[in-house]
Amino acid sequence: MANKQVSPRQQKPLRSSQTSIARHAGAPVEMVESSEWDLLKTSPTIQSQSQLLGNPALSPIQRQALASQLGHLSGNRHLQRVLAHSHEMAKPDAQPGIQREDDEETASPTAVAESEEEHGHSHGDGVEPDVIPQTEGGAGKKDYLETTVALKVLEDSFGKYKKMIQGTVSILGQADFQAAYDKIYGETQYSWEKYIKVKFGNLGGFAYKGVNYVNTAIASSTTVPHEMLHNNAHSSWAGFVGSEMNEGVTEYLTFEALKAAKHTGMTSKYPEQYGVITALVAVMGDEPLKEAYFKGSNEDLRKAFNQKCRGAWVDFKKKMDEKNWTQAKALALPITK
Amino acid sequence: MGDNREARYKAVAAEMLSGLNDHDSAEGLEHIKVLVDRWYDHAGDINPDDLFRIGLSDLKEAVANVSGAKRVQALAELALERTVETLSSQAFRLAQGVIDETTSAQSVQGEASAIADKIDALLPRVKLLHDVALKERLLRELADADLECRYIKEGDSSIMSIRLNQYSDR
Repeated sequence: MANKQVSPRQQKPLRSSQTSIARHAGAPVEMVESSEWDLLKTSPTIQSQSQLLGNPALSPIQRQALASQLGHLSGNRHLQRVLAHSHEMAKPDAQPGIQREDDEETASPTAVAESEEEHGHSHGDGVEPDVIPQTEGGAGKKDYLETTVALKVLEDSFGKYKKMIQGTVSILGQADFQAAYDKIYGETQYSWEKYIKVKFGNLGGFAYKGVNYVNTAIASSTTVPHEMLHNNAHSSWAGFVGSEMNEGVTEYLTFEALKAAKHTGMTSKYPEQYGVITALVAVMGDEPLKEAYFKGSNEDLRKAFNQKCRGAWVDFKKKMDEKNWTQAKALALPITK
Repeated sequence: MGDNREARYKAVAAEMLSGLNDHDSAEGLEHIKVLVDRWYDHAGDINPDDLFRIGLSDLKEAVANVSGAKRVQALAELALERTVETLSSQAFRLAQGVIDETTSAQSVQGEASAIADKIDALLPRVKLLHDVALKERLLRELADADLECRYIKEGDSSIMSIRLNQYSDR
């Protein structure tokens, strides 16, 4: 069992805006050899830092932690340049000896920016946010979208509401995901082999100490932008609408962005929630949802619902939380005169 | 018809089960009861005719292009989906109370264990589903619910479902 730390029960949980590098990368950072970090921080060029990060002897978690420290030391822009260089080097026509990003053993870390609220400044003021790297291992098994692509897709569609950020989700390939799970439970009755594999076969995601871990082996093209969108929701959104509506609107926005980017063949992982939101949008449009989702205009959403739909907002939210899609849809029917 | 369940069951059965033999019809009717009950239970003052129209429309869409005995199987899968969702919702609500500290983990451990037992009982049926997407979705629901039960039972060092983390992070 992992060391006991301050829990949500003992302390008011950290808001996403307070999610820190220590929380996210606490375990991985401990695994980085100080000599590797010393080498990295004293490397003079982007190229040399890129090569150090691409060292195949490093595990993905070690690489993730190293990149995290580099981002913390040198800033997001610098880390992105290093990563971009790593990415270029990882292409098939790049120099021999550098494996592709989708090779699980040498996956390039990907920068993940914390939300602007975490630092109390906007992205428009020229100050780059700190970064948290994440590892994308085990790709090639599913057609999930790379974080850089997903970020652009979201920025193109919703950049007018807020500057899109990648956030703190840790997106891992199957092996890394299992390792992250077993780092907590490997020696217990809940170990991957004894519990998850036997009971569920696999696991799509879990959260630990405030960090969400997502398994790319169960991911689709919607997974990464969907999870990224969660990180772009206003801090008041999830609490205001509840879990199911949150998933439904996030899925709705994910599909809108992917369709706008000409992606096809998406299948929803939340079809029932998505169905209710589509019905709601047919009645009141999607602008109140977007304004609330990205900007926190929750009261306007509540008013729009109460003015245009047959039911009361509070009942609709309750039915969504209960996963009673039929009753939620009935409450979202338009008012008839 | 109001919330006259028997009349509603019959009306849905007439739409869904016509042409099936007695055995399949009887089995199909049991699944329909589960689905229709979900439309009407705790519906308060929601217009029952709206519920019927929406419920039936969604049902027809879900079993479109499926006929004969396969329609009974499709109804069984939908009923299973509703059962899983109800259980998942119960687990989440229970864990939310613990996060909010409106209830103590200790006081709901029995309830969490009962939900965990129901999860174990449902898993074999879910694993037999032919619809891969549905199976994946229901396994996710059950795994989330299981993580929430574990969180309640095992205490503070436990992992939790992503949805519960998002809730605690709100």
